[in-house]
Amino acid sequence: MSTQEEDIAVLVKQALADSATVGDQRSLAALRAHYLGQHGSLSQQSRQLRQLPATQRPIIGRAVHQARQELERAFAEREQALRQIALDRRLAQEQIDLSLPGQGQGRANLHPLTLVMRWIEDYFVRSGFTVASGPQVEDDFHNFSALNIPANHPARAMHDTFYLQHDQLLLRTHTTSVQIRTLEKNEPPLYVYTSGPVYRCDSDMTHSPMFHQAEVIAVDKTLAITKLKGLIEDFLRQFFADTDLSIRFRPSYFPFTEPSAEVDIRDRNGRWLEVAGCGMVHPRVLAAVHYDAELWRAYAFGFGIERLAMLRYGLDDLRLFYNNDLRFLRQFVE
Amino acid sequence: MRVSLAWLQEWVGVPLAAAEMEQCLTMAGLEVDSCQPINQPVPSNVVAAHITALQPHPHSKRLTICSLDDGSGQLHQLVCAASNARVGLCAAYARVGASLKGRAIAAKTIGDVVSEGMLCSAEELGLAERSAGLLSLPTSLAAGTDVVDYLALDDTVMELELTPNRGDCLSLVGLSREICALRQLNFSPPAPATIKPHYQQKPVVQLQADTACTRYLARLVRGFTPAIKTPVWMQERLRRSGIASVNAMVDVMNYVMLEWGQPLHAFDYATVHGDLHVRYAADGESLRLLNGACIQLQPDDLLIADEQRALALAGIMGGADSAVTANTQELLIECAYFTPTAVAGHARRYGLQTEASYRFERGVDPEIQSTAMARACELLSTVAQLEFGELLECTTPHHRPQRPSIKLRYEAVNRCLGIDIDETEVLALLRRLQCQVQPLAGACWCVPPSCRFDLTQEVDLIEEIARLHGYDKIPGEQAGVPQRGRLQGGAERIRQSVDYLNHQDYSQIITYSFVDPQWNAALSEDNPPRLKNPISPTTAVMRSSLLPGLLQALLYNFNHYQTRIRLFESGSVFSVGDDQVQEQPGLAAVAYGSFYPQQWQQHNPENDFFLIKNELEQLLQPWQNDLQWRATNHCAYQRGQSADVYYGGQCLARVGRLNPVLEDEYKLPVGIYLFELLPPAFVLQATPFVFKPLAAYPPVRRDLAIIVDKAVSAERLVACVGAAAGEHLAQTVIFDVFLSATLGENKKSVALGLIFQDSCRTLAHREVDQLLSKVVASLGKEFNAQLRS
Repeated sequence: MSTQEEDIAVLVKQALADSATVGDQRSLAALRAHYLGQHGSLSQQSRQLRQLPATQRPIIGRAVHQARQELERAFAEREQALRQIALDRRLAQEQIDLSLPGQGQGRANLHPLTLVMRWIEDYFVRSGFTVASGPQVEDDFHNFSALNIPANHPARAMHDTFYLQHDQLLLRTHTTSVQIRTLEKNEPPLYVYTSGPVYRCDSDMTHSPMFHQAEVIAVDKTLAITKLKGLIEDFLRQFFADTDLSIRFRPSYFPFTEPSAEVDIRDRNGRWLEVAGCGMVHPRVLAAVHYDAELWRAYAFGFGIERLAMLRYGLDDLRLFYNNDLRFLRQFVE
Repeated sequence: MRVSLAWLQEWVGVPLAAAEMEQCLTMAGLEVDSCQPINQPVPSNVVAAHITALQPHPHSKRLTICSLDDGSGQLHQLVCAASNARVGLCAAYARVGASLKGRAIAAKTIGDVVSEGMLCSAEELGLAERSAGLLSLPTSLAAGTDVVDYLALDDTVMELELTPNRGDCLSLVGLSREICALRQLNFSPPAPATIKPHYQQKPVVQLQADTACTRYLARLVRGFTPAIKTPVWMQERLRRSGIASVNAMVDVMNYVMLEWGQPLHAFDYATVHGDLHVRYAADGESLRLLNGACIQLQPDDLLIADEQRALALAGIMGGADSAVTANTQELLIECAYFTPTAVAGHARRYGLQTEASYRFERGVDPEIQSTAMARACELLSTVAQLEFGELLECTTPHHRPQRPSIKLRYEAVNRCLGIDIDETEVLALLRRLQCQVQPLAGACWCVPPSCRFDLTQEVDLIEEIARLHGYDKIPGEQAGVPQRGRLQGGAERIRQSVDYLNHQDYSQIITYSFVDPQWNAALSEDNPPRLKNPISPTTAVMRSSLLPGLLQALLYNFNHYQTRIRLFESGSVFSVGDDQVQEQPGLAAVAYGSFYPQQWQQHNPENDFFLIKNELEQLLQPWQNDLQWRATNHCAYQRGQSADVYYGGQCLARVGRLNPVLEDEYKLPVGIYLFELLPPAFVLQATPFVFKPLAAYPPVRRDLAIIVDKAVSAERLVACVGAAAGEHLAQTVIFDVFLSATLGENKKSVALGLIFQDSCRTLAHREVDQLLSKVVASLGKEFNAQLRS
């Protein structure tokens, strides 16, 4: 090994040692200039090549070249390492407490009765029913007479009615009034869903003077109890997300349906709970809206929203729905 | 209706257990509300015993020593504290070893005297909530008779919730008829014995009310004395049916009503003057009722009257003057058929709801009167030695107990039920209901029994067939609906608005539609409809605004320690205008406290007009650029910080701060902001938007800071800028507004960012500078605006 080769080796060794001790990118750049720059140590070795004998020149030239490559690689690696160190330092400095709460506007939710009504409305729209609505301030005809409940009928005692001081008007006691209005305005076949507030003037632990009902009515040529039963069973099993839900139909009486039934579901304790009323629409109701009761058959099915909501959410006090306590309302995140 | 299970079992003839009876009735449409055993556990070893001798207790004045014959052939001795213990009394004797209310009765020594068992009060036998003294049994009762059996102490009281159509089931005969039909049992109600008349006399009755009363039976009975008491077993059955014992005469009438569903009435015949008239009330007539109330009669009230005055409100309640009392000696028993329409509504009119009116309103079997009258006489004759007059029966030509024939088509049955029930079954089911049937081809004629006045047309029979066949045997069928479902027009928009408010942290509330008239008047300028019969004076009007409910809920939550409250409600509002009640959709929100929930870092402003305005703008986004904000004078809002929001000449919404006067008056927290959408907002249609090509050339922005009078509105500044800059001005933003004394009195600084753009080329700076000069000149001219250096 010639002296010059030895010098190069020493130089490389020194440069590598220097680079390892360099602590930041700027010092590394200076170091690089010192060894590899135009006037750097290795460049000086290159410049001395011309003075060497021709036989020595390729050997030393190769050595300089290799040394340059080695140092370039070493400085690049060191550069990378230093960049990483700098980045790590910065990231460490910028570390935040990820567990602190997010910032900005909160998000509230719908009233539980709206949640239930939307679910039900969507179910029936999906099933082919069209949504209808009607006034809450009603007349006697649409709330009673057309529904086969003439004046002084004992069934009126089941409906403690609020009256307005205006024109014999009243607050509807059920959403069934909307059925009449819808039948009046449209031609069969009809598949209609409606929901909304209704009013009865009693108020205690289990009765609210205002509550919500929903109901469906279908008018077509081939409707029968079997189809009504199938629809209600599917609805209740989907609503309570329980395909094995026990459901029973129990004979009952509504002036506007015949045959009539009340629908019970069985709870976890084996008790039967009443959830809905239903039946085939009474021919007198169809006659009241001038439908041919021989040609058209209709079924109807109605239920209380509060009742379904209480069962769905495990509530035991009806009044919670109307207290509008934020501690209650904020719980219904769906 | 309450009924004793033991009594019902006697009528049915088969001892169906309580649970079985309940299931059977429930699935037949006769809802059983509750089933309460009168004793749990049932007492045992309680027998009838006669007191044969009494001796004073050696150590106590309060106690006596009784000798008892309990039929065992051996006398027993016990110590008794009851004051009504007397020789000859027949009492219920709990022998040593008996069980009472789960307690074992043992022999014990009371003050050196051995006492073997105890004598019972009604309370101890589960026959009364509270009672004093020993229960007195009939002296005719043989010593040793099992009292548990005799008084049916293992009975259950069933409470039935009968639907209005089933008046026929408001009696033991009706319920047992129904149960026999359901269980396919032989139904044979007992036939009362006929009591022959002891004297010739009978009253004269004139039916003068056409169809209202078509049949009237009357009979005189004499020989009553105050000593005649109602037998214990009858009192007990009445009690279990929810009817208090009054006296033997009234008790028998009630007992027969429970058995046969026919209300009877007893008049003290000594108070009746001349003939009886069944007639409508005359003008100005009044009647003092049994309950003490004096009512002014109306011309459509049906009465029983004598020659002089009204005696009773027919089928509802008797009069006080003719009522039977302990001193009554001769009775006139009335057993009549009043049609439902003659009674329905009249009881309610006077706030009366009696067992009689309840039954007549729902309908009483028009053929049952003779049986019921016979039964009443039979029972009276067992209670005491009495003399009976002749039976009077009056009917009018309108009396038609015969039911019309109904044609029932088998095809109609199956079409309605969706299943196949064959002719044989249909006929068998109808016969079980005691209908007379006459088969035809594909149909039958059916005559229902007189008690089933609810069966008048084909569909009524179809329901009966479904009921007897069993609802549970009709399968459910999954059938598709041959239509496409749709939400209602406008529903989507309301859903979007509601969801948006949720996302802005407004909780949805639902409040009653009736509100306090004062609150409503304070918060709404519309005239609300008033209720005739509100639950309370604070819920007497229908809301004409959603604000009363919202602010009440806000106050409720504030009082429950909430410091930040954001609520909205979506629902109808009501008003009276042009003499019409209007019902329109509404949506309103209230906000109190900080804008954001409490945060650990970010600046969290209190609500102000502009934060709330932004929310309303977003709610009205499709029309946002064409809204005009005009100062409002509405009573609910603070003047100067609140606006009516107009679009095309219609007021769509209102927004701002709550009127501070209301904060004081209703003890509301300070700083409530609110907004409401008004009815026109719900009928607006958003015009479908058309895509505008994206600008291909860069925008140029120039900022201006100007000093103007405080009174110059931003709206006017922007309009002026727009007019001066012309079509190349794409947008004007206001990015700073401030007031400062250094600007001069009543001056403000407004910083405007003007963004210029052309869709076909890049605008030259020189061009933009020229436009800007025009803007500055125009602002200077119109508002005396100074550029701020």
